[in-house]
Amino acid sequence: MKKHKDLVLHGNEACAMGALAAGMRFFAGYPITPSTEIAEFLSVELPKVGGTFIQMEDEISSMGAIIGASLAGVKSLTATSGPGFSLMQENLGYASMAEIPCVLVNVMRGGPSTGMPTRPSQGDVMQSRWGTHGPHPIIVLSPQSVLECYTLTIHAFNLAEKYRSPVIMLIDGIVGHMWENIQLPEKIEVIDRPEPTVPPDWYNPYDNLPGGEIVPLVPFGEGYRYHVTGMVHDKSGFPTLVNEEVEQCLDKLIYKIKNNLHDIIRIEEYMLEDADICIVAHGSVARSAREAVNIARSEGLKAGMLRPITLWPFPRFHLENISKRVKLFVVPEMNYGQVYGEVLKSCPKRAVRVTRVDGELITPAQIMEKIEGAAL
Amino acid sequence: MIRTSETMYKYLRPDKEFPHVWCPGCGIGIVMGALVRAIERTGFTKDEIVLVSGIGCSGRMSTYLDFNTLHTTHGRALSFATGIKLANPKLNIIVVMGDGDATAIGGNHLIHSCRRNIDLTALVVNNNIYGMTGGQYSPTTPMEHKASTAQYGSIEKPFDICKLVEACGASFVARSTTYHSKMLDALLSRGIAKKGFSVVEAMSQCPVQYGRRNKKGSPVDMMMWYKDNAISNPAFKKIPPGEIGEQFPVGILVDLDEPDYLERYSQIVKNAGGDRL
Amino acid sequence: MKQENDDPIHIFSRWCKKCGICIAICPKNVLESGTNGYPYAARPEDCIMCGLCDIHCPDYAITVKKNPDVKETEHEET
Repeated sequence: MKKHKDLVLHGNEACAMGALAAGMRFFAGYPITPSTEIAEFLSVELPKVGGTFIQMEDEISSMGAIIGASLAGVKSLTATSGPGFSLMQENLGYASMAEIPCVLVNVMRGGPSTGMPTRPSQGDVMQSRWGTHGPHPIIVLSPQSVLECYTLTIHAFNLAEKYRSPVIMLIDGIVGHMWENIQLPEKIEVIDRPEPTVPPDWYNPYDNLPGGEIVPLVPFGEGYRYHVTGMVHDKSGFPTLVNEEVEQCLDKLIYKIKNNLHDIIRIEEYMLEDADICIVAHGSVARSAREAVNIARSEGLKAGMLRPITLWPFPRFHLENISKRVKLFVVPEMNYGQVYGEVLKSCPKRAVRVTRVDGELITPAQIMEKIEGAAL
Repeated sequence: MIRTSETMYKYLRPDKEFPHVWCPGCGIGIVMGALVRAIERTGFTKDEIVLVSGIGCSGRMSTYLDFNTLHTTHGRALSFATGIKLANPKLNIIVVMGDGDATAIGGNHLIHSCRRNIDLTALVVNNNIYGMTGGQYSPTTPMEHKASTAQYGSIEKPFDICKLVEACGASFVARSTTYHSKMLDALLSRGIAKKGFSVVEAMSQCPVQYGRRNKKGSPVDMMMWYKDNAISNPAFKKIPPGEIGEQFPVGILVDLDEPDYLERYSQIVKNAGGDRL
Repeated sequence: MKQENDDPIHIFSRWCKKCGICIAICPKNVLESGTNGYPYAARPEDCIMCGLCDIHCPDYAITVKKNPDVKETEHEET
C-alpha cells in the first residue's frame, strides 16, 4: 500500500484502503464489474495485515460469510454491483434483522439486469433502501469523490459498529473508476466493537435498553453463548410470536436509526444561503450540479445545491427547511427519478428532475437547461 | 435418586420448551442426541462450539442446544459458517442442514465448501422431504415417491449426497441412520475432530410428511427399513452392482488427510508478512 | 429410609410423545405400551442397562441407570 499521504488512485481502491484503515480484516466477495478492483486490491493487501480475503462462489455466500466473520468479531466487507447486489438482498436483510455490523459496497452500473456493466448509473438508490423485504432500516452513504470513497468507508464502518447495522456504500460507476489525486487525512476516527456491559449469564443480545442504548454485540467464543436468528426474536434472541415482543423487536430496529438521524445523516450545502433554486444531487452527478450552480450564479440566477452524503435515511428534515426559502428544486439523477420521488415527498414546492439513463454523466449544461427552462 | 442421562440434559437450553417441536417419532431428535454425545466426547467446551443451522425442521436444532448458535437463511448456513471459521479459527463449527437446505438451495455452497476443504463439520439430516413446509419433494426424494408437490410421483433422480460431496473434494464423508444412533455419534465425533471439511449424512425418518404419504408405516417401521438396508461400507463394496436395490453403504466412506483451507491461507499470510503483526 | 428405586429405567412422561421407538429398539423386550399409551418397563428384571432406548429416544424422555460394568466404548467403525 502506498505509504506517503499524496496519492493518485481510483475510487474503488480508495474505498478498499478506507476499509483497511477502519480496521476491516475480512473481505468476502465475488467478481463483478465495476467493483472487482476492490476485491483484487484486498486480495493482495489483507494477507499483509493478517486479514482474510476469500472469493466465494456467489454474492449470496459472500454476504453470508461477512455476517459470520462479523459475528466472530472481525470487521467485514463485501463489494459488488447491481446484479450481485440483487443476490445479496436476503442476507442483507438478515444482517439488518440480526443487527450484525458489516459494510456492503455497491458500485452501480447501468441496469436493469445485465444492463451496461461498464457504464455508470445511480439506478440502485431505491434498491438500497427497499431491496430486501420487510420493514427494516438501512444506512446508505454516497461518495462524490475518490477522497470520499476513503473517508466515507471509514465512516460506514463506524456507523456499522455504533448502530450494529449493515451499512451500504452506494458508489456510482464513475466515482468507483475515476482517478484523482488525494491527500489521505492525517487523523481518522475509528469506532471499534464496544465491550460487553454485563456478565455472560445476564447478556441479552437484543435487549431494549433505556434511552435507546445499543447492546454491544459480543463475538462468538467469548463465553457469551447466545442465539442469533433471522426470525423475529425477543430480547434474548430467540424466536417469538408474542405480539408485544414482535412489535418491540421491529420498533427497536427502526428507532435505533430513527432516533439518531442527527448523527447518521451527513449532507453538504453549497451556496444555499440565499438560493431560490436548490439542486439536489449526490455522487458524481453532484460534481456537475456544483458546476451548474457556478454557471447559474454567473448568469445572476441564485442557485445552490444540497448534496445528500447519507442517502438513507433520507435527509428529509434538511429539505423541509430549505423548501421554506427556495422556489424550485431541480433533481438530476442517472435514473428516472428515485431521489426525485423523495424530494417530492419532503417538499410540496415545485420540483423538476433531470434524468439520464444512457450511461453517460449528466452534464452541467443539461442541469442549466432545466433551470433556465423552469424560468421563475 | 432419579437417574438422568448425564449427557443430554447438560447441553439442552433449560429455558426452552420441551418436549421439542419435532413430530412424534421424527428422527431429528435422535440425530441431535447423537450430535450432543459426539460433541461431549470431543472434549470441546460449550464456548468453543458454534452450531450453525439452516432453515427447516433440522434448522430448529440451534435453538435447543447451549452453544454459540446461529440460525441462518435457508441454504446458506455453510457460507455463514465459512465466515466464522476464517475469522476465528479457534472456534469449532458444526453446520446442521436438511437435505433440501444442503443440496437444493444450498447446493452451490455445499460443493464449494467441499472443494475448499474448509474446516467445518456438515451434518446433513436427510429425511428425503421438505418437512417444515408441509412435505414437498426434495433433491433426495426417491423417484416415483409421493410428496405434496409430486402427487403423481417424483420424476427426478435423487442425489446420493455422500457420492456428491466425495466428488467435490470433502476430506471426510460418512453416513449413518437414526437406527444406528451409536454409530452416528461415533462418526460425528470423528468428523468434528477431523481437520478439513467433514460431511456426515444422517438418514432420518420423517413419519408425517414423507412416511405417511409414501405408506412407510410407523416411525419404527421406517427405522427398521434403515436397519434392513444399511450395509457397512466394506460389505457394501462386495455386493455386485446389479443386486444393490435399495441398499446403501453406512460408516466411513471417505477419510483423506489433506491440508485444510486455513492451513493453505495462513501460508499466504506468512508469505505476505502478515503473521509478524 | 427411602426405598432405593432399583428400576433401571425412568420415563419423563411429559416429554414422551408415545412414538414407540424405545419399545421396538429394546433388545430384551423390557418395555411395553401401557394402557395410557406411555411406555413402561413391563419386565425391568430383563433390562441389561445397554442404554439403546436412551440414545434412540427422539425426545430424551427415557433414561437408564448407568450399567456399572459397561465402560463407555468408542464405537470402532470399520
